[in-house]
Amino acid sequence: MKVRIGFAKFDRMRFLGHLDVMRFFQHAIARAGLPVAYSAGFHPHMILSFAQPLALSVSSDGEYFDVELTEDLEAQEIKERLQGTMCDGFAITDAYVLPQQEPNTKKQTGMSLIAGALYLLEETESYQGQLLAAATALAAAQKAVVAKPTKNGTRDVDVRSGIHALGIVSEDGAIRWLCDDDVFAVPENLTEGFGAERSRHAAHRPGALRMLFAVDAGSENNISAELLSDALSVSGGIPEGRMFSSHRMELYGLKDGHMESLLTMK
Amino acid sequence: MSSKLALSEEILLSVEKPARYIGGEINMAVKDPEKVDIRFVMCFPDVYEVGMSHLGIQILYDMFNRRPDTYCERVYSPWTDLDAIMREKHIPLFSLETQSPIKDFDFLGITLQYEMCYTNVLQVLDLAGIPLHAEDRTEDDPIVVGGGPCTYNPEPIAEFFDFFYIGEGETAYDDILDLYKENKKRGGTRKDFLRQVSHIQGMYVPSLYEVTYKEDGTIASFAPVAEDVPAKILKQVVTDLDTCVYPDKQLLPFLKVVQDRVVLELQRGCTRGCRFCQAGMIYRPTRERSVEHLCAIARNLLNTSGQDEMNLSSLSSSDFSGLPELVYTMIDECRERHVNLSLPSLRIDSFAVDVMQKVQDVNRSSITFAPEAGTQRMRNVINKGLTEEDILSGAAKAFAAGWNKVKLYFMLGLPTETETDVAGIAELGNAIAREFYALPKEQRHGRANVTISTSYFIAKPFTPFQWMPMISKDVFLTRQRLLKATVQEQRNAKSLVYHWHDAETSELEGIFARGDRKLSRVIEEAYRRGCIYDAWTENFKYDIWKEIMDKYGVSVEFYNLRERPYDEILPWDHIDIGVRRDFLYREYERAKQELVTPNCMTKCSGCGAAVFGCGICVKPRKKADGGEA
Repeated sequence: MKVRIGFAKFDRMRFLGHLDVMRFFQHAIARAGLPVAYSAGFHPHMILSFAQPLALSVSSDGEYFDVELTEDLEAQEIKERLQGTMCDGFAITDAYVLPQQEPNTKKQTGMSLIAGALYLLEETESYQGQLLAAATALAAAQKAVVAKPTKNGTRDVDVRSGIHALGIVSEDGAIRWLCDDDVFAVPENLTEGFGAERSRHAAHRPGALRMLFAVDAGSENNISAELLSDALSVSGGIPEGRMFSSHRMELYGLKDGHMESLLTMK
Repeated sequence: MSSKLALSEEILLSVEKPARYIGGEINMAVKDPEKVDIRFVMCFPDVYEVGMSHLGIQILYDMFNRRPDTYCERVYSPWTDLDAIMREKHIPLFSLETQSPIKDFDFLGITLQYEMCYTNVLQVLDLAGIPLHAEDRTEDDPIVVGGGPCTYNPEPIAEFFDFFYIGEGETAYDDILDLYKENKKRGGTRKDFLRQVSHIQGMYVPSLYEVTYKEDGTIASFAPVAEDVPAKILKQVVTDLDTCVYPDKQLLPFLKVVQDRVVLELQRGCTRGCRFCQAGMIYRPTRERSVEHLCAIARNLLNTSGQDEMNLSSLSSSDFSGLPELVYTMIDECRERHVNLSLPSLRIDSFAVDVMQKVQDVNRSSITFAPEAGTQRMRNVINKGLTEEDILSGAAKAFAAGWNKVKLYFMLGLPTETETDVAGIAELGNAIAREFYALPKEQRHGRANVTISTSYFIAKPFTPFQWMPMISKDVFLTRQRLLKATVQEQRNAKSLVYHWHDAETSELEGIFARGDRKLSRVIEEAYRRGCIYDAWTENFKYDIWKEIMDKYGVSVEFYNLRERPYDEILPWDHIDIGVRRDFLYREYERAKQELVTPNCMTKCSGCGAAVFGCGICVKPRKKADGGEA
């Protein structure tokens, strides 16, 4: 059976790269003694599929991988056994048994499903309203072009077209949306339910400005936290630098024109 | 655990592989530093991926942390990128576990695995803010202790250490730590502690010994400064490997490290007595672990790490008497767990071919031989009990089983080596390839691929060759060229590949290996002028070293190229490894006479290691194959 595991990555572990995160979970699954399926060949490896890599230093409450098991187990048991093998900075948030796939449909792995992400950005120092003005300008703009680093140089990317919603989070957790289309079902606040759950491991300094972004993600048009930061510095005329600490709250797949949380995506 | 890191996010994001500096690995010890009496930080003076691959630190880390009164943490050399940032921003070197300054610890333990790490030792001390010279340290500085193979001649770096622990770490640290605690309670000083430490077997406190030199630079006298300080320092030895500590769990790094596997140490020591090999002498007598104990350890390690590879480690695995039993037990278990089993240093015989077929991908892997020398005469000189017939029949078996890749390791510049011996290397490679083509065509897969690698022979302390001259860099390069040309002349030249080793680092390694205290200022100045990570070819600054050696009159001729007379006081003569100096000298003479000495399994040669009363010295092993191979 196929299981989707949700996990959080925070504190020191924010500095682990994607490959090392994959290695970490391979070892964790072996320590947990889960009956995992292996590939064929002389050096078989576990059949794991990880969702969108997370940039270094970004924390997250919305990471996923899919794992194939050779025996049926209760989701709760899988979650507990894996949680028992975690170290500080990693936590298992969910385990969800995926429904059997129709034999003739195209295989949908965690990675190829990804279409959207929800980011929480918090200013690292006070920009005295400059960032709020930048966010307002960005929300109102038609376009926000920034240079995205690629393998050979840079490529211009319109970040604005990839932003579906932009909200300002007040100190009590309430969200005021500056722009919003109906592609994403966005949280209502960060104090309860989904909003609270998915911002649990985000560092927060009282009084610091926080913004919420619902954006495109995945292999097609990936708007990373870093690109969002760049777009804000362009629209606000602020010199580039480390303006934000970033947190990924959730990853989404696209279904019937709407973003659906990867956890419940069928 | 506090999530506070010593480095800011900006710094972590600007350096290569920030995971080197964050700690937090699986099986890391977590304690409250406020609630222990002794804080010990263990250092491997090289980059994280190298240091984390070392079994010795894993053993001591686990052992120290079993003591409730002690918290052992780790530190590795910051890579050159972070090194520059730490200097610029005055960030003190920190431990991985609690990210606290190294200067706050009671002990800084540095393992010395190879000579080329010496400038990295100074880097660690300097970045930590600890005075480089032991004599300049105060009561506020950690006690700096060295361990590992280089401590068998620690003289070039003696001034930088408070003491050296000679021998195996499992035995005496409890006494040392107890002594430290008592001394502290009594209000004793650093000096008091070091004086008492010198009374424990194996502990060498360099400041308690005085050395004088003759005009020609050799040692005139080497003696303790007081009567209660022992003149000879006898190494520490574990007498029973089955009852001594072994970690149930090993630290599991996040990064892919050099040895990315759990390590099972089968035995310590080697019975072969190769005359160039320091490990074969300093780890005598050979002691085995029981198969039952090893299987239990292996299961523990795999359960607690989740690693997918296990390495059976030993200087000569084929000589481990329980090998077939262990391997056939573990092969099935490992397959069930999807764990790869790796067995380096196997002598290639029918058993090895059978085992390797089960654990390796025949199409992709290679088989390895270390003949070390190209002719039988030369192999007799070095006492390498491996004949051409052994090698050819081993290769033939492996070829018949489907392999076509062979790796061969040799040394150039061995004592008494002639051009015939050098050419013999190429000829041996050719003969191996010939075995492949002698197979019927339908049994061959592709073409033979024989790789010949040569390294530069370095004479090491505590070997029969400790008195021998090395060849100069120029002669070495000439022999490399000769070998290269001879390889090309071989009939099967198209199946042979020749790899060589760079000569400049080896020359310096030779100087340090048999060096004396006069070298410390050379090392210090090289460090001051920016030399670190000398073991990494891309960082090795030969010109700077050369300039400084010339400045202080340190010559290659004196340290590497001359034959030392028997009555010369060698810089390491005050260290006693059990194996006696006269035995080594007898072996030196037998080498010159091209005489082979049987290994410990066949016949005891009375080397002196029996003084420890353990291992093969008290329980000789009977080998079905008679031992010699």
